[in-house]
Amino acid sequence: MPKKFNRFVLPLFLAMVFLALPFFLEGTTWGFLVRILGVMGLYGILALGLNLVLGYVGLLDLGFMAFYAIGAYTTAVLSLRGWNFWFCLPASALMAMGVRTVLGAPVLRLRGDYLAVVTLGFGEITRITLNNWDSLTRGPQGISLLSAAVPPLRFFGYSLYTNTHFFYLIFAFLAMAWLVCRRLDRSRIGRAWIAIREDETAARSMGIHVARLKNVAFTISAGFAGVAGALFARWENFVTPESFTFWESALLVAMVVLGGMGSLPGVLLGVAMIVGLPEFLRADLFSRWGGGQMVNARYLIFGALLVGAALFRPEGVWPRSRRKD
Amino acid sequence: MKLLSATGITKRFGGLTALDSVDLSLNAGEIVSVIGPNGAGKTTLFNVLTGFYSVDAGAITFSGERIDDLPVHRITKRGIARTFQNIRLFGSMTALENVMVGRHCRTRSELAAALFRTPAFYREEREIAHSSLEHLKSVGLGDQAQTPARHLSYGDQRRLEIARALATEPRLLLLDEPNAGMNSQESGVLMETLLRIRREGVTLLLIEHAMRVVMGVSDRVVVLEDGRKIAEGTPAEVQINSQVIEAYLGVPAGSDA
Repeated sequence: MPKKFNRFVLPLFLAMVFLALPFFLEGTTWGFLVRILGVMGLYGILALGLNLVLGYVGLLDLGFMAFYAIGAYTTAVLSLRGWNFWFCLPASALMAMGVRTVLGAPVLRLRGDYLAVVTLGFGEITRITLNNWDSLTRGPQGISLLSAAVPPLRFFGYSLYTNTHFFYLIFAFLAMAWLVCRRLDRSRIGRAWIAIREDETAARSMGIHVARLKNVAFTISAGFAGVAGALFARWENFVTPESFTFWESALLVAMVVLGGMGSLPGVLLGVAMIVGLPEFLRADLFSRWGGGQMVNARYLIFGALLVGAALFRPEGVWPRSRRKD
Repeated sequence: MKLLSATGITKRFGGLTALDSVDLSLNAGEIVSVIGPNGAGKTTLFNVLTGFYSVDAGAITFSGERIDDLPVHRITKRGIARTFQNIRLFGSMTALENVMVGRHCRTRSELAAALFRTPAFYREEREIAHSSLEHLKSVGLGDQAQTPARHLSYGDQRRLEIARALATEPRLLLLDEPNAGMNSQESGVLMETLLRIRREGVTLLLIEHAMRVVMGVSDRVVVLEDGRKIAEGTPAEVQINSQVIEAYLGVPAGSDA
């Protein structure tokens, strides 16, 4: 019984409390938390996507934000042409996946550091292209979707525009992303990915088509980024190349590594820590400690926590557990 | 019946000829050992047969079909499995999961099946888990199924590699020094395991230094030195072959050869 409680009832209860949060927070001085949680949800989708390549297959990708950008810009450009969001969303995912597949074919021959350098380069190329392709992206001005030409985001007759609306929309997609990852994890494909990470030579001799499976992981992960990008574009109603810097890609890698590579709860914990902590440390309550100096010291505390985690939990704060099924 | 025949296998690394037109043929159901001093080209031969290295000259035929231009995973699928000299397990995965990976090439569930959890997916997963556990038990690791591979003892790791290779359902199994690091009791068990694998219809090719194992289980022995085959025959024939003795012990003092 307690086992069933721990595995099913407790998570369900926590999920319900979590989903009720916006009702309690909205309109209070803590209302900004809904927005921060929404941002964490977006990073959650991105981190679960990156985890497919970094956590399972062990490929260091330092340019993952490029596919978030491609997703966001696809939705932005199509929305300006009057596309409904529910068509923009799959278009964003497919665009990100398509670009990723084409990129993957030559790039995945590289291993380790070399792959990291190429993905980093692709991330920068994407950002610079968006910054300069004025006719399509309006360059550094960015694209604003706050015009009459853009159809409102509707879901079964309801218009979605507040932070609370997006909180639910984002967490619905995060739940789907989680489900996809979990099912892949416990499958022949997931095992093959982990085998490649652990020992590529041995994986080949087990009959695993390493190049193909790497490209599959590479492509699916971009789909996650494309979906997150589409949600981001319609939530902000504004996209600019400055949202998709190398710094963001590096932070995303830090989330996956800090939380625990290949561990789904670990990855989300990593997101909560890296996205959440600086925001919470900035919050009103904490800022009063130490005579108002906490705000200024927040990145110091954040950095110390990261170093501490790396020292004391080198496999991640919540490492992948060996399951018993 | 010929299971494998390799003719004129040559492999060069820059100026070094690691294999110099080596011929090798295996009959179905045989146990053949490859011996030779360090650097003779034994592991290179394994890497060539399993597709890790391409040959510079020569042809390899496996049950009637050319395999020397196939990639590694296709050769595994045709029915050649191997273990590695310096054990290569999937360290963070459990012993059972390691063997389950070995089932990869005999199963087929793809992305869609995994995402939508079709009945066929569940059936196949059950089959994978069941047959993998059987393979683990067959090498005596049934009670270690949930132990991460890197926490197993050295001897258990060698046994796990064999179980994982068997999970690919090979017709030919290449074992690279299976006896390394084993004590005499463990190597007795190993020899029994090898004979049992052969009884189940798998042909075996071993690289081995332990003469007790080589002489104990082999039908034939192939001797390599400096990339060339210098002798081949039954264990008894090879033991008294003067070229073999020379390769291992050198030329007697005073002789002018």
